Amino acid sequence: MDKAHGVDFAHANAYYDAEQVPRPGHFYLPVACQHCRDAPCVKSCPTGATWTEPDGIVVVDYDWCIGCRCCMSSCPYGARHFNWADPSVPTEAFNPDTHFLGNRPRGRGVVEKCTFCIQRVRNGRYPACVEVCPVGSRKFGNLLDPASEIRYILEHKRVFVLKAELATHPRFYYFYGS
Amino acid sequence: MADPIVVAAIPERTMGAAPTTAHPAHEPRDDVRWILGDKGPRDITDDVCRPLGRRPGRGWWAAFLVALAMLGVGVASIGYLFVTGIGVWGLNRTVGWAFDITNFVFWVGIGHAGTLISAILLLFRQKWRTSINRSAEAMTIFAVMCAGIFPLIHMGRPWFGYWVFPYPNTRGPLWVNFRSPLLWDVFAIGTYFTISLVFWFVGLIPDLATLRDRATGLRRRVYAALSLGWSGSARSWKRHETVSLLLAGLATPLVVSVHSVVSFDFATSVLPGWHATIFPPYFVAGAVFSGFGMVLTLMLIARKVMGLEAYITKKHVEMMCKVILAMGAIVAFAYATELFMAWWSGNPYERFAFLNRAFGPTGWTYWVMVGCNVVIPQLLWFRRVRANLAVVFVVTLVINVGMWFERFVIICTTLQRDFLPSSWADFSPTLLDIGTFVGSFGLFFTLFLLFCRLVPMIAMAEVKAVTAHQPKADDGKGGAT
Repeated sequence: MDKAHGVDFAHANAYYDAEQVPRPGHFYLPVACQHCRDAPCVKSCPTGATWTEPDGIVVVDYDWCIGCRCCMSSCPYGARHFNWADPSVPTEAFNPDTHFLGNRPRGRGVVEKCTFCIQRVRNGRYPACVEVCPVGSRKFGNLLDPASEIRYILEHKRVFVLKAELATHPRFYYFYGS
Repeated sequence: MADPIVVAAIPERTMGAAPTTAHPAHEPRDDVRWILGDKGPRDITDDVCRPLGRRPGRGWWAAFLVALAMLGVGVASIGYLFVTGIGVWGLNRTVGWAFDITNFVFWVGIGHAGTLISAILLLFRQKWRTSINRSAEAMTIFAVMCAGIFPLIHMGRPWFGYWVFPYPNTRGPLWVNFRSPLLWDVFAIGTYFTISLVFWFVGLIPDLATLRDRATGLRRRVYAALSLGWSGSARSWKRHETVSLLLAGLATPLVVSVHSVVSFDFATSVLPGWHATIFPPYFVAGAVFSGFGMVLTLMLIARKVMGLEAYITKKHVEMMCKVILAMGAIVAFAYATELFMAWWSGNPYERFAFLNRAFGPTGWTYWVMVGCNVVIPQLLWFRRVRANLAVVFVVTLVINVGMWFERFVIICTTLQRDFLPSSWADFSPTLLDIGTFVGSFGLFFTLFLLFCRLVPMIAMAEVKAVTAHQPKADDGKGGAT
């Protein structure tokens, strides 16, 4: 991805085909929606199309989004993406197991973002990124459960949140494995 | 045809225009001759209405066709945009607002001069406003119309734009979010447009009655309907003055509130370069600055083309130049304050944002902004420059350019380089971006040219009230040349 286009899923190579990983001089830090407790995107949406669910997941109702991109401008993490074109998913590639606030097809002109795979986590499964990570560097759990793995990490590892000084209070934490 | 204006009955809208010999410091000066020549009420009516009675000349047609062609470009661009989606603009995930919101803020700013001239200067008893208030108010209305287009078409799904209006509906539990600055924009712009339109129309009523009395046939019927049965009686004038004052009182806070609210679109975010408390006054001063620039640009053309040199005099130009100079000083101070805050705050993001503005990939736009808005307007300190209308015209054009770039710098350079380098991206406009921008100018000029042909460009009744009390041409006090 070059700087002229930024993060551009429509034209980017879906596979990271670097000759060497990590590439020299590069620092890798995955940044998705931080599901902020004080989310700037929720405050700025004029139609109330995005809100925080009782379990903390910040969601978007794609039917109510008018595509004004106020949320994109206000998000300090660049976590929101605009659908520039109509979806073109082949029928056989379409996942019929959808959630209204999650992985259903998004039309042209609306904003979307990571939903912590709401269609999975509401059914007791991990988000896809957690499940697929080959080295187990991603964890997911219930912050309110003292016995959960996520609570152990927060209490025993070196942890930080991205741009803490902005007081968005993310629910997305970064921790050092060692 | 008899002139329906009774001069003795109208001086109230000029707020205490009775001639005096001594002038306390807080009183407006009555000894300046704002209108050239010893114009009587009939002369004024004839001079202002004459261009309306004639068939439009070649110059008007040429300008109108150019404006119409520009408008056509805009309509075609917007049509293609609706069909294809806003991906046809040069936007990307990082720079989600660019020309669209730049144009919106630019046009809202252009509108500010009209309200300031018509409302605030009325309350401050500035008589020089009478020659320019009608056109400036018209520009306000047209500029706000141009501005209103952009928030609508910038949406991914503009056909649902009406969802930002909080009205009783059947759309379930979802309701507008009153914490969203975009929603405040809807209220601010809607109120501003409504009050400006009503104020403009109320001011027009006596002049429309004058046109009614001079016209025949269909034009007479149209003007009769629009003038709402105006009789010119003392009671009508009394009510007219009361309504004008009330509307001026309502419009005055709007001059400040509208662009303050527009600035909240940015100031309420957490992005460096936007998250600043100086934004509201900075935006308001910039709006008046750019608005006066546009008013002066068009007035300098109109006075020549319409033969209104006696009404829009060098003295008027001088006054407007002084307002531009004052507002330009505030804008320059705001630029300096932003830089100072970036340095003094010790916030590395703020520092980077402003270094990026000046020396980043689109740093040239910052220097265009500084050159046009800070450096060039300093010429207006010189009386000789203010008296040279050609130079003033060029300076106002430069200010218009500079103020568009100011909005581009604020919006685009901030978004291009935010907190996370992985998100950085550049913006380059497409032909559709430019086409839409050109189209907005087409709409503005088309409406303005129609306005010049259909209603009096100068508020006749108010100018008559000024001339009724100004010294005669040979008494040695004349200032306007």
